[in-house]
Amino acid sequence: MSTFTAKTVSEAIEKGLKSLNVDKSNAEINIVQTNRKGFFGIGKRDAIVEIDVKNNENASNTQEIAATPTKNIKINNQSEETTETKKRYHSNEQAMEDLVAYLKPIVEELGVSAELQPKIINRKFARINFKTEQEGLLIGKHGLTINALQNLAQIYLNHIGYSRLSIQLDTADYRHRRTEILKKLAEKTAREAVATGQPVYLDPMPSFERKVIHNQLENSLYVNTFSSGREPYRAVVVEPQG
Amino acid sequence: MTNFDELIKKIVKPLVEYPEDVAIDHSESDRFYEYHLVTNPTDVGRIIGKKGHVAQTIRTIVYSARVSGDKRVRLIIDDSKNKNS
Repeated sequence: MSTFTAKTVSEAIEKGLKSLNVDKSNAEINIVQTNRKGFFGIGKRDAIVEIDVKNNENASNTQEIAATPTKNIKINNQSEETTETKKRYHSNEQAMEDLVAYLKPIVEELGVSAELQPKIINRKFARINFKTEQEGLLIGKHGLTINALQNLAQIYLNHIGYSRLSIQLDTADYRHRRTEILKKLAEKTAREAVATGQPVYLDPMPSFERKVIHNQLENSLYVNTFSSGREPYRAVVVEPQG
Repeated sequence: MTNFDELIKKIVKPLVEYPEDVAIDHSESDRFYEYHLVTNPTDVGRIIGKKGHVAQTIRTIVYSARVSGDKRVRLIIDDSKNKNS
């Protein structure tokens, strides 16, 4: 057991590891005192850490370090951050695998034989494409079934602790086709609202579909849009401006 | 016809803390095939969700399955407080 002192905890650890010539995963690090910047030099103190070289090369000590409540322990250099994101990316992949394993039996029970093609778009967004002949059955009336499955997929992700990853389910380019239809619907509804001078209520639709309508009419000089009602019956209202 | 027991179990089991406590009772009225979902009391909230969103999602999926005959399927989530609803 040796003690090291430096201005910050991470510096102290680095110093200690260097002088003991051990890897971080192979050492037991105990923070005796965290550093304080102080105020105009008053109350300033250095960080003190104790480092013990471990013989067994168990990975658990790295976890111990991560579990220490002190924020300063997290060394803020670049390499650490990239491994972090890599790890998260990796775990997203794992989550997607779990999700596919969850959804596949469900759609099979619904009588749809489909090939699931997961794709992670970025850290926060992923998509699963269902390659199937029976797309109509999977989509349901106005996308009722596929939207419910998408909700369920999100619920499942939240349950296994990936609430930051949002999921979209798609089949046979349905989302794209639907977006085009919604844009046309938006324009048609705008004309109707202007022609009648009355607000026009659209059918209830999920938030991401309402967003398409709102975006489409956002810059319109003749109509305003807003949503009314409570989920899942929330609907877009298009009203003439002025 | 879809095996509703399997479908419901496959949806519900991964979402609960105690999958082994998930059970389904059946009853049949003149208009509905009723499936009573029984879970561990601590999991009931999980299955219903905020404002019933999870329950509604599960129902939508279950009802989307094809049924032979003119009866419809109904999924009832049994919470331990209210047995006769």
